[in-house]
Amino acid sequence: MNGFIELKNVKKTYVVGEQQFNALDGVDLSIDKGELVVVLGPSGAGKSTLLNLLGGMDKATSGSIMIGDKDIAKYNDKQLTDYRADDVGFIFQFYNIMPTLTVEENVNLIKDVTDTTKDAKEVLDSVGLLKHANKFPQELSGGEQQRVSIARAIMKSPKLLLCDEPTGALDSDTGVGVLKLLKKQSSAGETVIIVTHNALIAEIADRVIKIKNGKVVSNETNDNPKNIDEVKW
Amino acid sequence: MLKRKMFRDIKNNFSQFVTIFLMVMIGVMAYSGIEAYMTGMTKTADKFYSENNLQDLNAMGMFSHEDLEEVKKINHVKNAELKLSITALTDEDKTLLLNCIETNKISKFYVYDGEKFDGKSGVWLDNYYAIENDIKVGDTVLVKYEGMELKEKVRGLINVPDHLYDVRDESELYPDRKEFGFAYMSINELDEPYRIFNSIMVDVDSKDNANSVKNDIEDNIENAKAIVKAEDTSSYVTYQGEIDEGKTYVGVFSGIFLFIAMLSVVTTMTRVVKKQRTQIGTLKALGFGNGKILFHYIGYGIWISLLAAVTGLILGYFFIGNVFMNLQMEFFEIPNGRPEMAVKSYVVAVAVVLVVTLITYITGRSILKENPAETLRTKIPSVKGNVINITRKGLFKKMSFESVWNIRDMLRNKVRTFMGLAGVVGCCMLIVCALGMLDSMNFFVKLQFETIYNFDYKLGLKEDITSEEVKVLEDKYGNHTSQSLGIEIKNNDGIREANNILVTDAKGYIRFVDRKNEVIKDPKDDGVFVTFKLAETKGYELGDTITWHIYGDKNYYTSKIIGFNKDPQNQNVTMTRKYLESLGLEYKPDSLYTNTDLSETKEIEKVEVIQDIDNLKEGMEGMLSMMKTMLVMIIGIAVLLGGIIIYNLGILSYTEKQYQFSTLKVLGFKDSKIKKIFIKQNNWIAIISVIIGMPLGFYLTDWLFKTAIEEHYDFGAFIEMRTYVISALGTIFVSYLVSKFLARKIRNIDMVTSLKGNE
Repeated sequence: MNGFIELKNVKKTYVVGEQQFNALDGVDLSIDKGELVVVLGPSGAGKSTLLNLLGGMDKATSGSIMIGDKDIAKYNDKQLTDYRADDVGFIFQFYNIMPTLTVEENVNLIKDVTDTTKDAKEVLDSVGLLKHANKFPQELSGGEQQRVSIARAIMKSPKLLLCDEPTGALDSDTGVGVLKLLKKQSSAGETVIIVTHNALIAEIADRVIKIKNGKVVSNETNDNPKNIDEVKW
Repeated sequence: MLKRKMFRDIKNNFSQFVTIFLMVMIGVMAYSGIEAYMTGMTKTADKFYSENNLQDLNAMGMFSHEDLEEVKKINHVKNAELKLSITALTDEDKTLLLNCIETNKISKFYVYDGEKFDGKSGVWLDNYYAIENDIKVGDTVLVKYEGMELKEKVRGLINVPDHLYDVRDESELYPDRKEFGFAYMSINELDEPYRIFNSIMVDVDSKDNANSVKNDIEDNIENAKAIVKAEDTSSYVTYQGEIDEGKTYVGVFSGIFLFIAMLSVVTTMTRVVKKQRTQIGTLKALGFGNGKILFHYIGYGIWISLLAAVTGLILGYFFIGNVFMNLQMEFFEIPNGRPEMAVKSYVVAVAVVLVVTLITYITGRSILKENPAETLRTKIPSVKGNVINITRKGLFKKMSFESVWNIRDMLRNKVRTFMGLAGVVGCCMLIVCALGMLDSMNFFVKLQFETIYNFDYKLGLKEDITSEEVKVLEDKYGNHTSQSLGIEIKNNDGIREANNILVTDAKGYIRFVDRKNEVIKDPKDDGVFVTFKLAETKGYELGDTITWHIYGDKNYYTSKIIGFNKDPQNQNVTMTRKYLESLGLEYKPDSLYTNTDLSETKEIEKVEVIQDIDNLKEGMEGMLSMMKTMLVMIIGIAVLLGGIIIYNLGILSYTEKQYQFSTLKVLGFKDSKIKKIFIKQNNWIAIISVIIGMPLGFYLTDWLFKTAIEEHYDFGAFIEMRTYVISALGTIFVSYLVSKFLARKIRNIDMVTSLKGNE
């Protein structure tokens, strides 16, 4: 294995009272740069934990997580903060955008943590939200709010775009719109990882990873990803 | 089961419930304590006056037994007694106000130790003076008067209702009990020629008839030169002044305390209930009815606040009530002084419990209005665009993200912002006021004893001093003298009011000061000066005239007001010797002022009392030290309450923003940057509060001095810049510390859990 992302024997153990629980139990993975990856699994399988570790939001109990040539499993809090600021874009199921900032301000927020030459208006235009730039999130629909979240994530040109159930709160048509944007990012060379339990989304992925009980049960490439317009749920 | 949940919740949120308990308790304690002390003061005096039969009128002049019998014959007079009040010295040159009587049915003694008055030999001594000088019943004291030396056995230690407050001279404020006290003995102890009487104490059948009896005495008893009602004596007025002063304190200080305490309770209770949001959602999801859930949460407020209110009432009575009462009892000579619980305190305690309950109800109800699914999710602040529309334009666009974010957050949470502002403004105001009162008092001590009084020693001259003897003293100590005259001023309606005139020939040793506290040079001789406060009270304008007469002289004089002067201690009329003499009146000084060193001089012929300006100042400073105890308490409570409010609102705002902070953290914001955002808002609130609180503190101090303080004082707020700086920095520092402490939580935000809470 020699991918952009390499996980070796990654474990994440939670201690609840006297009980130990392995959310991830020796995960090995390899993902190439620019791939659109879908991580599938039932609730409690460990997919969100995997996403949190990849995003530097949580620390592995053991194992290594190589992103490029850096092992982020060895990072301290400060290094993880810098990593999140510079290299990772997050997209959440419930958008997590700042309700008291306008759309444009939410996107520009990124300039407070990392250097980016991108123009917020151009980014908003690319996600079809330019006309809403001066609105507050509450004035937008769910799909539009998720697009704000995507715009904020891509504002920094992240090496890694992590999406936790990005279409979970959206209807099928709106969800397809969001997926198209994510696909566009992957085509532009960004690695996009989508965690979901919606198996239909897997059909558009370059790679599909299945997780169960904290272990990777399959890691397959999809040689013929479906056209996004064909996906419906 | 819900009851069990409540007890466990209280246990799990122990610090919050302790905060609520403490706040309600402190608020109720402050209010009920001051009320208990005020009511206690009033009732203690009422009881003493009535049980020991304080005289209704005091006629002054030179009286015989025939005069006494005439007075007794006047309609509505129940009883009357003769008295000779003189100033005597002891063998240690301490001053005794010696009262010689025949019987003691009016202004009866309260005997602490010893026997009742029986008209036989011996002396009954002021209990406080006796304690200070370690004199006991059975000891012998030597009383010197007019060459007589009376060796008297102490037969009783007493309090008397017309000697609640006694000072040697009006320029003293704080009684010096080591050096000055009162004593009673039978008139028969004096040598025959001295058995005369200079007052008649009159007991009237009803207070309503006091005025008519007063007029009858004036008309029928020729020897009566002045008749003073008990309510106009300095003992009565000073005591009553303390009660009136206290009443204002009750309204202001305990009102502010209660307000701030309630603010902090409201914020804490809101916080506690909001924290239970998901549990409320769960209970709803489980099928609990809104009423049942509300009742459960109201229980949180009721029990804690009820327990705290009861504790506050008890501690208020036993702690604050007793402490203040004891402080006053050091000042006033009155037996059995004890606080008394006021009915109003119970009403306030119940009202506080109801408010806490209402707040719990309102907070609970607002959460219950949401559907269970919504309630189960973390609350995401809603933004109404139109409220903060303005912040999308103009200047705001150029502001940093954290500034815009904080401005919007404050605009969006107006109630929280307002509570924060109100709480911190209240605290800043109290600190400015407490320190400002000290500044003002110090300023007035300086004004009185350094600017107006410009001498080292004041000699109180004996009443029978001749002009030749005055001349001898003037040759030796300088010719700076004054005379005090008891007068009545007749107003337009013909009503006469007691006052006094200071006739000065002190030539710069007693100075006039203007409104700006600057010395008036060369006061004119063609009329009278009236103190500012007296002029304001009576509506006198420059150029108006006042009509007055001296007690014992039925001639009325009309004088033009040619100026106003400020006197912190006495509100009276002042004129020069030249003007007095121009009216055809004789100038007969009763005080002489000198800068000659008299520190080693114990006695001067024809001088009744020698007063050192430093002692006068010390007396005043003694009173200030009493005030300091109270002010330290006020500042302590203000800081505590302010700290708790800032903490509670900080926690509330932190809880609301936790979700946003964790998102920022995920986005790569450093902890220090998020902390900065968080602290910024609290700092703004502290700064705005200080800007509002400082002038309000000044006005509060000024208002307190003008309304609460006794009528004869004229104090206004005089607050040093240093006080403003200390109050401002103190408030901002407390706010910053609390914010810093809260900001530590940001480091521990668990991004995963915080964001998961939203799913």
